[in-house]
Amino acid sequence: MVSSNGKPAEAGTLRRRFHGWHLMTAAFLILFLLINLLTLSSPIFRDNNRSLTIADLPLLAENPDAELPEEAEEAALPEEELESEEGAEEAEAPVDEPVEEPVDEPESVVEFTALENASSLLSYKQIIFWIDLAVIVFLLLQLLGFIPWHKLLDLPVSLAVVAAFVLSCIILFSATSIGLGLKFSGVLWFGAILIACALAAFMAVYLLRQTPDKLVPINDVEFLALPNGDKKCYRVGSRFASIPGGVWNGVKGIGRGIKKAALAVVNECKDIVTTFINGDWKTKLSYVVMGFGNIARGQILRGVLFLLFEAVFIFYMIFSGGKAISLLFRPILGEKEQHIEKVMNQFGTGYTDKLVPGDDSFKVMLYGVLALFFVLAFIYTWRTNIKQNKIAEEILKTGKPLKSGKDDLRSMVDDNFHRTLLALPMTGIIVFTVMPIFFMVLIAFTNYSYEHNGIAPLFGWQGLAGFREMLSWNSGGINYSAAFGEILTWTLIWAVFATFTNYFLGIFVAMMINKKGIKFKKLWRTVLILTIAIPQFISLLFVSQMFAKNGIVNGTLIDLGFIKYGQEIPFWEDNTLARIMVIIINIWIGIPYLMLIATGILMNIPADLYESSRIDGASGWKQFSKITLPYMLFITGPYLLTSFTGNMNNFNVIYLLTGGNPVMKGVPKAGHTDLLITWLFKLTTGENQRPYLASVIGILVFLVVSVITLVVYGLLPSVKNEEDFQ
Amino acid sequence: MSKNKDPQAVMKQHMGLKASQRISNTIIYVVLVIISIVWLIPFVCIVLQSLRVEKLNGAMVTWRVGYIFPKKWGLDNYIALFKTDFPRWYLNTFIIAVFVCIIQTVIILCMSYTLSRFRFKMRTKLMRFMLILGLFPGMLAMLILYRVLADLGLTEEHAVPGLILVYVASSGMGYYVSKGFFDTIPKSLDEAARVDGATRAQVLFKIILPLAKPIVIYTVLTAFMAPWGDYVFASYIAHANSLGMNVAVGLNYWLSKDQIAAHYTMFCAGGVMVAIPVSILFMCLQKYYVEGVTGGAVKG
Repeated sequence: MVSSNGKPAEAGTLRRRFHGWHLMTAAFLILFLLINLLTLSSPIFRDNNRSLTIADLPLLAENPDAELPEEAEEAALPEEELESEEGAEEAEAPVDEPVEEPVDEPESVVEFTALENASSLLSYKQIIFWIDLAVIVFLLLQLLGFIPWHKLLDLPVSLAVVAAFVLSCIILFSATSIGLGLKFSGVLWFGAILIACALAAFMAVYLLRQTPDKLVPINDVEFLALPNGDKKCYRVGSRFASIPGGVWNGVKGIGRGIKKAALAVVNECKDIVTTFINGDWKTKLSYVVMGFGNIARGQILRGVLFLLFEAVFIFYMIFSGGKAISLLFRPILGEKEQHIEKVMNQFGTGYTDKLVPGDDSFKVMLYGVLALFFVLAFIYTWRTNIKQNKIAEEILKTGKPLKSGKDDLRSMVDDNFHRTLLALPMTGIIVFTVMPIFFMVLIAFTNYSYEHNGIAPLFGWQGLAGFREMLSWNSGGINYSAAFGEILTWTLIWAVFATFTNYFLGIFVAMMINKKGIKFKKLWRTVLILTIAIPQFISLLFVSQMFAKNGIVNGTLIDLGFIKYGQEIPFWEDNTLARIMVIIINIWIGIPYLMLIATGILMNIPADLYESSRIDGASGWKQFSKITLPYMLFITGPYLLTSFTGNMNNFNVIYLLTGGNPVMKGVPKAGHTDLLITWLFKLTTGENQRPYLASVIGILVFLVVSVITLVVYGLLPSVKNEEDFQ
Repeated sequence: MSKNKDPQAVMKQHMGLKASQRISNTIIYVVLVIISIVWLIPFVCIVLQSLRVEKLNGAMVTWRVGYIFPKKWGLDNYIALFKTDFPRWYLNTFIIAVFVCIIQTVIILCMSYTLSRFRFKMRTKLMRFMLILGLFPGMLAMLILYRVLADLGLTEEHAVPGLILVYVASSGMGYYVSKGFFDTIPKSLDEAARVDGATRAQVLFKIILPLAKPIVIYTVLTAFMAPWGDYVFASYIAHANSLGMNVAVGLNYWLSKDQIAAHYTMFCAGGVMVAIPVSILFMCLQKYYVEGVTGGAVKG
C-alpha cells in the first residue's frame, strides 16, 4: 500500500495544482446565489403573510391546490447534507493538516443557529436563508483558500458535495415551477432530476480535469504515484465522468440500432425484388401461392404447411381479422354502445325497457391486437417462403438433391433441435408476456378506467392524456404528480437501502459464521435460512400483525412497562416509521440470501491473501475493506444491479407488510409506503380502478429501470478496471 | 509496514492475536445468538398463537392479542381449519405446485440448455430481447390475462388451471441460473458423443441431463416453492372467490378488516400448516438450493 510514501507535495505546486478548485468554488457560489434568487422570488416566499411552517406539511400533502409538498423534504435534506459535510470537514481539517489555519468561528456559529432553528418551528424562508448563509460562508472561505479542496476529497465528502448539489438543483427547479405557476410540474420534477444529474456529472468531469497534471486518462503507474487524496478524487471523478460517456454511448447505440434495422428492412425488400426477377416461374408463383415452389420441387411437407397457413390467414382476414384491425384505428373502440330500447311486450299491450348489449371495447382492442400479431406472423412466413424458394433454386443449380420431408422431421431432433426445444417456451413467452405487455402499453393511450369496466360505455384512444394526467399538478382536483414524485423517490430510496443493507449485513453475517474457530456453523446457517424456507407471505403477514397497534410487540412493551397503554408505537400508522420498519423487516427477509451467496464467494478468496496481510499488520477492518469487499464487489457487481432493479419492483415485501399504507390523501389508491409497482397493482384492482394510469406507471417504471440498468452496466467495466489497482 | 521485523516481535504479535481472537470469537457468538433469536421470534410467536384457545364469555378468543404466551393451550384452531375452505386452498396450491414444478422445469431446462449449447443466428438477440422484456413490470400483463382467462372460464372457482397456465407460460424467462450451470459442463463431452453418432437430442437426454442433476433439483425446488408464496397473480385470478384461492390469498383474506377478528388464530394455524411441509422439503434439498443461488449470483 502506498500510505507510507504519500505526503502531499510542497505548497507551491499545491496551489498551482488546485487552481481549478477555486474556479469550481466560484461556480458553486454563483449557482447557490442563483438558487437563492429564484427560490426567494417564487410566490411562497414573496408573500410574507403565507410563511409555511413544518407543521403545515401534512396539510400541504392533503390539499392538491397547495404548493409543492416535496419542497418540504427537499428543503430539509440539503441542510443535513451540508451540515454533515461541514462537520466532516471540520473534524478532518485540524487532525490531518495542522499547518492549515484553524476553521473560522463564525461558520460554526451559523451552523449552530441553523440547527437550533430547525428543531423549532421554522418557516421555509428561514431554512433556505440559513442553508444559503452557511453555504455561502463555506464557499467564501474556500475561495479565499482557508479550506483547501483537496482535504475534502475523501470519498464520502465528495459524494456529500455532489448530493448537496443535486438536491439544491432540485429545490431550484421545484421552486421555479411554483414561481411560474406551471401546471405540469411533474415534468419539471423529472427535468430537475435529469438536469441535476447531468450537472453533477459535468461537475465531476470538471473536478477530474482540474486534478493534478492532466489526469485524464492516466495509466496504472501514474495512478499509483498519486497521493492518496488524489487517488480517491480520481476514482470518484472517473466514475462520474463515465456517466455522460455511457449515456452518450447508449444513445449512439440506439441510433445505430435504428440505422441497422432500417438497413435490414431495405435489404430484405431488395432481396425480395431480386428473387422475383431472377427466379423461375415456380418461384414467381410462390409470391402469390405460398408453398407452391416447395410442392413443385418435391418438398411436399413444407409446401403443404405454407399453403395451409396462407389459406387460414386469408380465411381469417376476410371473416374477422380485417374488421378487427380496422376497428382498432378508430377513436372510439367499438361501434355499438350499450343502450336501452323500448320493446313491445309479449302481450302487445305496451312497451318495456330492454337492455341491448353493445360492444366491449376491451375485446375490440384485444382482437385488433391479435389480428395485428397474426399479420406480422404472416409477413414473416411469407418472407420465409420466398427465401426457401431462392435457396432451393440455388441448391438445384449445383445439382444436389433437396431435403425431403423425412429429412426435415429428422433435423428436428438433430440440426434444428434448438428450434424444437425453444418452440414451447417461446410460444409461452410471446403469448403470455410479449402480447400482454404490448397490449397494456397500448392501454396507456386509452381512457380505460373504472367507468368503462365491464361492457359499457365504450372507451377510446386519448393519446398522451394519461401521461399528462400522471405528471400534472392538478387534474380534476387530484395531484398525481406530487404522489408520483413522492412514490418514485421512495421507490429509489427503498431500492438503495434494501439492496445495500442486505448486501453488507449479509456479507458481515457470512463472515462471522465463516470465521475460523466459530462452531455450529451449520446451525447458524439453518436458523437464518428459515426465512427462505418458509413462504414469504406467512412470515411477512405475521410480522405485519406483530407490529400492529394492538399486536404482540406493543403488547409486550406495555407488559414490560416501556410504554403505557394507549401510547402504543404506531409502527404502521406513521409514514416515516412505517418506511423504516419496512426496510428493517426486509433485512430479516433478505440477509439469508446474501449470506448464502457471500459464503460461496468468501470461500473462494485465497486464504494466503489474509495470511500475508495479517503478517504485514493489517487490521481486520483493513482486510475487509482492501481484500474482502473489493473481491465481493468485483464478483457480485451484476448481481447487485439485478437485485437493485428487483427491489424497485419488490411487490411482496411492501404489499404484504403494509399494503402501501398509510394512505396518501387526495390521490386514488396511493400510500406513503407504496412502491410504483404496488401502486400500479392497486390501480388495477378493486373499486375505482384506473388501468390506463397503471399502464402509464408501468411504462415510466420501465423507463426508470432501463435507464438505471444502462448507466450502471456502462459503469461496471470501469469498476472492473478499478479492481486492477487493488 | 516493513516486512523485516525480528521474529520475537512477530511471535508476540501472534500471541496477542490469539487472545484477541478469543475475545472477538466471544463477541461473534453473542451476536450470532442474538441474530438467531431475532430470526426465530416471529416463527415461535406464530406457533404459540396458533395454539391459543382461550375463551371469553363462552366464545373463542380468535382475534389478535398483545401477549405471546397463550393462557390456554390446545389444537382447536387446527381442527377448526378443516371446517373452513382451508383444505380446498391447500389442495389448490398443492395441485398448482405439482404441475408448475413439472412443466416449468421442462421449459426452463429446454430454454437454458438451448441457449447454453447451441449457437444459432438469433441467439444473442433473443437473450437481449428477454433481458429487456424482463425490465417491464410483469404485473402489468395481469389485467389482460385476467380478462382473457375469464373469457375462457379459467378464473374464480376454476382458477387452478388458469393459474398453472399463467405461472408456466412465461417461465422461460427465468433461464439464467441453469444456463450458467450448463455453461460449466464441458462442451467436449457433447462433441465426443456427436462424433460417435449421437443426435443432439440423445446428447441432451443421455449425457447432459444426468450430469445436471443438481440444477434440475434446484429448478424443481424453486418451481415447487414459488406457488406456495405467490399472492399477486393468485389473488387476481381467484377474484375473491373462495373456491379458487391458494393458501396465500386465502390466509391474507382472513386478515382483512372484517375477517381478522374471527380468523386470526386460524391464520396462524394455517400458516404453520403451510410452513412445516414446505420448509422441511426445503431443508432436505438445501444443499442444491445453495449451489444454485451461489452459482447464479457469481455468474450474474
